[in-house]
Amino acid sequence: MKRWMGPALMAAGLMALPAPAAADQLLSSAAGNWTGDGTLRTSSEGAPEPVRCRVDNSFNEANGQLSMSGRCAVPSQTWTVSGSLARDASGRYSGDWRDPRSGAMSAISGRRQGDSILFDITEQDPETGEDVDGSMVWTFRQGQYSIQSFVEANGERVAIATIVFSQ
Amino acid sequence: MTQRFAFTFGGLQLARHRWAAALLLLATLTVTAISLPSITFEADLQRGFAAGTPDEQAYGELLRGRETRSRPVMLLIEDTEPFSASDLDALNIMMLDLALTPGVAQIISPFSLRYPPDHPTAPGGLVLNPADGEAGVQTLQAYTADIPGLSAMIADDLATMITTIVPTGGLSLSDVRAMLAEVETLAAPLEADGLRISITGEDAIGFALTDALSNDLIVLNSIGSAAAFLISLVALRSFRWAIISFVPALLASATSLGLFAIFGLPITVMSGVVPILVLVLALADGLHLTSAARAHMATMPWREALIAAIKQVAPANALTSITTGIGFAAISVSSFDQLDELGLSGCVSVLGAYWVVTAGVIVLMPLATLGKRHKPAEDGTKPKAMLTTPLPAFLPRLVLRFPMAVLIGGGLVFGLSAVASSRVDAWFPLYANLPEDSPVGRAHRVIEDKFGGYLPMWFEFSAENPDEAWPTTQAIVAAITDAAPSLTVLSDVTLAAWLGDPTQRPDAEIMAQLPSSLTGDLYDPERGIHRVIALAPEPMHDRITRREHDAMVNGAREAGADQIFGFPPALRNQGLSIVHQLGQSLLIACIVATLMVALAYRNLLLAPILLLPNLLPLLAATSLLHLLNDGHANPTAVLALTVAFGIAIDDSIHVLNRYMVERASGAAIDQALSRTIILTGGVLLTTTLVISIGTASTFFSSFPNVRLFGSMLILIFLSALVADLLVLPALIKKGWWR
Repeated sequence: MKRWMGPALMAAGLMALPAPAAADQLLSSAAGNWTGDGTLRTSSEGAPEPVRCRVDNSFNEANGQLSMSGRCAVPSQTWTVSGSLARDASGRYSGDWRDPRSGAMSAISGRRQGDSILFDITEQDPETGEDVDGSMVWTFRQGQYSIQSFVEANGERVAIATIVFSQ
Repeated sequence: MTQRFAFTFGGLQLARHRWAAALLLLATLTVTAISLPSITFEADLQRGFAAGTPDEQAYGELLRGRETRSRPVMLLIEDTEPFSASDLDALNIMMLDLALTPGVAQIISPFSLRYPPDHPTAPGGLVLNPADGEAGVQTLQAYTADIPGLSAMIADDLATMITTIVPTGGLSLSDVRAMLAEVETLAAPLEADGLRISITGEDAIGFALTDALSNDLIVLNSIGSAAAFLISLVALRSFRWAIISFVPALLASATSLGLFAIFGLPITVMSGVVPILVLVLALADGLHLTSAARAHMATMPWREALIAAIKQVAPANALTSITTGIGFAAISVSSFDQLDELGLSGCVSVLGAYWVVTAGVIVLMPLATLGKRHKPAEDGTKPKAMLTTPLPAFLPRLVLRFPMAVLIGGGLVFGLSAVASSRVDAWFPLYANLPEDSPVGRAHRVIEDKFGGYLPMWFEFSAENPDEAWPTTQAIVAAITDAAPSLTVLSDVTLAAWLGDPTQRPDAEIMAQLPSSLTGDLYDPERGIHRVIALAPEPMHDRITRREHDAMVNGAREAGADQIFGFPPALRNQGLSIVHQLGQSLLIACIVATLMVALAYRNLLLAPILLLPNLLPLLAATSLLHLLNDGHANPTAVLALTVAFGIAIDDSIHVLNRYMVERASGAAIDQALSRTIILTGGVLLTTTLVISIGTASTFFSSFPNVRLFGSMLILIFLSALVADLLVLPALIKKGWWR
């Protein structure tokens, strides 16, 4: 039941990053307060459940790092989202994020593709001990930021979260 | 021979040294003006019930270790027809937004209920699907109906829903208030769409109470002051003299308000009536004093008239302040902080009012001659005195010709009232302490009517480990559900039933997946304490609820609960304890005040004679609770009896005083009694009307209890007057006292 919760919640935690037309302004433009609205599955068999988030991002001009913090909620559960992200010299976006279940920080890394940023994620399920592969796609369209999250299950790519953010 | 009481407690000295009176008044006013902005209102409902019992100590221990606040905030959501799919969808989103609100730890709503992890079709899935609308709600109700102690949180009308907002631990009251404001903001769009969303819960009730209290204080004192000035004007028929009697009373009332801030005492529903009481009592004193001074001014210069008036009236004013002060002081012998505070503030206020009124009249006296040369009449012209209400002439004849009949009549009323009073039930409903039109109070009642209740009630016991605790938990849950089947119960047994087998204790793996805020409440491994939580109504919601509450508590104790605590038991036990302790205070007030008066007149035989005519009004007023308050004696009603006794005995003092004056001047008993009834009776009727009209300003209160308080006081004032003008003279006539 809880297998996909980690990647799904992480998706919610990182959803507040917009992708503006100019890549060098990506992180700085993500600063501010964001409200997220969408759906999220807590298991591959489960029905999509509504999810809401409130995040507050701040951008550090000195080191080019974006810090994120906030909370997300599905019925009967809330969790803290936090993390940081910066673009390195190679143009990749890397940083860390807080695993909603364990509370530990994990490294993440992503690349830009058009108006989107793609992240590949591998997370160990604390219940089964198995690695769970997943990915996230952030897309900017007409003043709205959306994020989609997927996991690989039995060789199939299963959509587990779709969240749209606005200010 | 009994001597008249002639001590003025410094009043005479103040009249002789007017600068000292001015200084005293200035100092009092300065301190009051500085302290008034610091007035606070009581928002903590539970503080009023703290008496330091072992159950309370166990409750305190629990609260110290909790992650979340012990006082949930409740939302009542109502629609005129069953919730539609779009209603449910909007509500579901609002619940998520609530969950993200700062200060909120958890939301428990119909949308948050999930199937167990091993459910055959939807493991771990949500039970209520908003898109299914009415059918979805019916599915939820059918599912929860099979799990004892679990509530669907949507009523059978499919149009009423509750949600519990669990605040995080350690929030201050201002944090909670900010959180509630955020909740209101989130609810506003849904209300605009036709849903009615009300907030209630202990904290919300506390805030509604403080808001209404501050409003009430302004309304009551404004109306009371206006009424007091009009009374002065009518009674004295002079604007100047009305000012001289009214302004000191107003200052005394303001001083009593300032005393709350000086002592650091928050104003409560009960103590909020002290300033208005002080106003009317001080006005009565002021009227007596100004009326006497005005009468003396017909034959002497104003300074001498003032001193003569103080000599004549101040001892009686002082004695009545003392007896009223005793009435308040008697309240302080309780084990409850709020009663002690009320007793202290009331006692100091009425005693202080004596000096403020005396000093005020002394300082304002020059107003009487301002702009005109005062020349005492030398021809014995009758001065313009206070307007008195004439009494019917048959009254003294009735007492003098048929004293036995009067006493038998009084005895009958006494006996019947005593029987009726014995059938009055001690009662403490929380909702009666709320403003009548309060949406918070309405939501509180609706939730109790439709969902059983929401106030957490804890049943605690010790056991070495969960296995050992399991049978006791089962027995306690069975006792609760047997006694009150409609209540929501949170326990290991409820979890077991949710998991599918109520006889099988949930294992540690399952428990680890549940929110720690819940599991931590049910089991404290460090102290080996296990708990069951019932969400209960206030025990005195109605008589059936009280019966269920008592059965639940007794059953749970027999099943092994060592401690039972929370707000419902506090309301049941401490609420009634307050009523009983106030009853003891009343007894103390009766004994001490009568002894005090008897000692003041240096004649202990007076004590039993004073008791009869002064107990009679109390019993009569208590018996009238059957008409006024459904036969329920709540703390407010008993408080009114105690305070009123201290005031009502003042009439007896005036009657005795006059009777002794008449006797001392050589009048025979019948003549002395006749003149006392006619002369003093008229004045007493006027002052009774004065304080009754002033007290009637409580009828404008939004609190039913304050209105009851005012009604009881007026009833006692009026019946005390009748008893003092009929029974007391009849007792004297029959030779009980000469």
